Amino acid sequence: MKGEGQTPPAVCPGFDIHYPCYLNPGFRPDMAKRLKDVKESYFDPYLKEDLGIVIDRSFRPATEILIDTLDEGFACALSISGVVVELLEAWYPDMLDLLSRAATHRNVELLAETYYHSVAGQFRDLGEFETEVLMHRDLMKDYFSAVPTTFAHTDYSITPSTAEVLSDNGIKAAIIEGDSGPALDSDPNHVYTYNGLPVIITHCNLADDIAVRFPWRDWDRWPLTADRYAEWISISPGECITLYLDYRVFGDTIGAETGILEFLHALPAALAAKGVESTHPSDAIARFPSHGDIGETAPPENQQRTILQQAALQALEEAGNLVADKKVWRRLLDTENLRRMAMRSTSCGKTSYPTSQQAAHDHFINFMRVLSDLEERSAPASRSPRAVLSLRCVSPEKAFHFSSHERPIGYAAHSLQELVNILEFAPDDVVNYHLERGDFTRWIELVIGDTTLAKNISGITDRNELRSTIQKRIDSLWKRIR
Amino acid sequence: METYKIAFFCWETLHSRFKVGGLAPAATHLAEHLAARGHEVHFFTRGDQEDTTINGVRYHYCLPYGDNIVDYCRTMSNMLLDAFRAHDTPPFDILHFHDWHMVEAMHVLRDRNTILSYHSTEYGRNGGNFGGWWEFREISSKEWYGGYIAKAVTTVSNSTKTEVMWLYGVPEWKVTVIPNGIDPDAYRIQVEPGEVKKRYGIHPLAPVVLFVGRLTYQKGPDLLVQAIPAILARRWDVQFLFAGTGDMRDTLEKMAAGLPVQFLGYVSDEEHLQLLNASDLVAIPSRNEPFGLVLTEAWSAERCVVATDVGGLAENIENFKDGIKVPVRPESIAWGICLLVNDPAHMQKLGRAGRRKVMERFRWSVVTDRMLEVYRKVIAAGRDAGVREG
Repeated sequence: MKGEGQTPPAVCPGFDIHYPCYLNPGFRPDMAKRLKDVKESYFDPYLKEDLGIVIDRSFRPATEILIDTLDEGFACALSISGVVVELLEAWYPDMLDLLSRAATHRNVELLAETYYHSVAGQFRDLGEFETEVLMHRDLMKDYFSAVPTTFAHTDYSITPSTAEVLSDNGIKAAIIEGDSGPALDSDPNHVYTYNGLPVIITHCNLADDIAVRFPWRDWDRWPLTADRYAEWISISPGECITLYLDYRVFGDTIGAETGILEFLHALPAALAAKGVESTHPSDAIARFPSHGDIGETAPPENQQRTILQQAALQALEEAGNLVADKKVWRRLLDTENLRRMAMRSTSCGKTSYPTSQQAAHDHFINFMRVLSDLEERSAPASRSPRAVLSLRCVSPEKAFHFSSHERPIGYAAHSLQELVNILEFAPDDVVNYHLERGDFTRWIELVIGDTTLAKNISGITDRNELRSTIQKRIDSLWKRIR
Repeated sequence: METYKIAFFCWETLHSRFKVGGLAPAATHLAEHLAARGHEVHFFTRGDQEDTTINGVRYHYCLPYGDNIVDYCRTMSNMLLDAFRAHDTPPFDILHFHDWHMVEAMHVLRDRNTILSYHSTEYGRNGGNFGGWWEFREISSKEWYGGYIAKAVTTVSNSTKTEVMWLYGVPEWKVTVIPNGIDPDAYRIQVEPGEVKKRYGIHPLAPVVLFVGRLTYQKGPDLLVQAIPAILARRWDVQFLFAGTGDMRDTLEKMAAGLPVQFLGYVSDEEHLQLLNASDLVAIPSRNEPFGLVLTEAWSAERCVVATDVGGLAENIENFKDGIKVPVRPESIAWGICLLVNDPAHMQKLGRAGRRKVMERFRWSVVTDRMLEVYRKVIAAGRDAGVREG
């Protein structure tokens, strides 16, 4: 904490405006057959109505407040996803007009992000990530006549390779997540560079004071007023406090009855009264000296991912080469989908869900059903339908669940590739249990439907031989598609 | 800087075939760090090898005998007293005794600058119970007498300090708490956690809870095993590894049947390091812990800990800042682990805070400084007394 009389830090407020295409929780593959357009059935049938509710509760009132405060000199950054622009244009064009007024306001810096608010930055192949960054840039140019140069990370950490892609594509700076990756070691109140790319870090504690704790009546700081919050910022050390918040926090996930909208309305004046200046990310980076490079040479192993998230992420990346309808696939990339597969107690400015183990698992099942169905339906039109089917992922009820004589081990293989991956480390008693029962051959033949491979592996008792045989088959199948 | 001639009396060292427990590394490393500062350190201990110098410390060995531990230690005291006298010109400045074993030598040398370090007490070694057998009484009275005649006393934690003040009436002014030191860099190594986990048949992304220590009642491994079902109910993919062995192993294996638990038995130092650095969380469910070296080891590797609120653990962990402290109950241990396991960022933060604490308070250089401070005071007090008498 600073003493009296020292310059308070600047604040860099940013809002993440996005509406995910939620999955249809009741989706079943057989149900979809009766529908004319099967893709419709993947997503929530009430998407339009629900978005309308979110607009009424949050987007419209918050944007109106924001425009007022912008007029009075408040500066902030907005990150508007391609998905939300598409949805608003189709269903609520008046809301899009209102949003454009804010987005094109002289006191707003528009941020770059992935068009689909997607997890593509976590793929091994960053082709999709780059494509989405460029798609988003074109969209911002078309709709808001701006070319954003500051990139906002939405729920994944920066890596050396994503930083390189961003730099190569005209990105000059980035807002990074405060609760993962390199930011964990760093005080979020400064400007840094990450492998040469200037970055600012979301201040998780201060962000969560709003995004999570604001409505908690048993919080010892409740009720949080704008004056008190501005005071906290004004006595913080450092040069610059970055707050990157989910826009829906204002009125939707935290309802208007809590006073959150009044808080938003009062905050700019309260900050000004404490001598805290609001600024744009790019200005902050230009104004404040860098506190050094926090870059890494090799991407760290992402320990923050759970087993389910990893299974889904891998299936998603592979699906990119299997599915015919890229647009549906891209909507599945939404970070929301992965986020819901884990119980996380932190939030860092994003909406936090009261999730349970069951909720996380239900979402995973639903997600894999949709992805699997999408792949199956893509097969007939592909160069080798047989190969697509063999390489597809399957839903958890069809997955290969590993067990030992004693108990289920807990993890499952949802595709041939995942089976190979798990065979690398599954304990011997587990592998032998399934070998004795002939489970691998049966699953490959009856569930995956690859009779050739099933024949090839029948009789193999050595786990390494089993692995290499399956891997060879996978490699040759990929060659048939590409 | 003034350099001292220091005599260590300790019945075990890392450089002898007699090794009993944690006393050997604690005394050996301290001696070596003192020697590295230019002090002349002689280490009087038992062993069957020739006297030698290792890492700057001069070792003097003897081979004691005796029908019981008390007789054994008496012969050891007498033998090492002879060895001490042979090297006492110029005279030693400091005579540092570790535990009760050589209190008889201390009795003979009681007018010199003697220091006694309690690494534990007989009462604590018996799990916080008074024994009715004669050795218990004999050893306890030696511990009392040592504390009575020593010019200064050190203990590894505040709880041991309280214990010796209560048990043996050692006055508070005499006691300084000096924790066991650690070499933090020896415990942090670069590993791919996922690769290490795979070697144990564990999914690379499954959270791993590690227990390191003897599988005995004092260390509470049974409390952790009892906590597992409640943890799995909240997070199904957590895996548990128990490194170490002990008299409770069979019981524990039966308790853990069908749970995601592996008992690794004795692990090599290398494997210990790999496990420590690959695990997500270290559990220390001890019922009694004078200091808790496992804690500083885990912290050195930047691991986050869930520990019971006892002894040295209670003193050294700052709750929610560098670890989680819970009451000695399975439900509470489960609660602590569940709290952290869904919040990897928080775990990393706690682990890093722990490492910082090790650098501030438990590094050998810090611990050696504090021990030297005790030496300095004892020597100064000895001079004053000499002046008064003269």
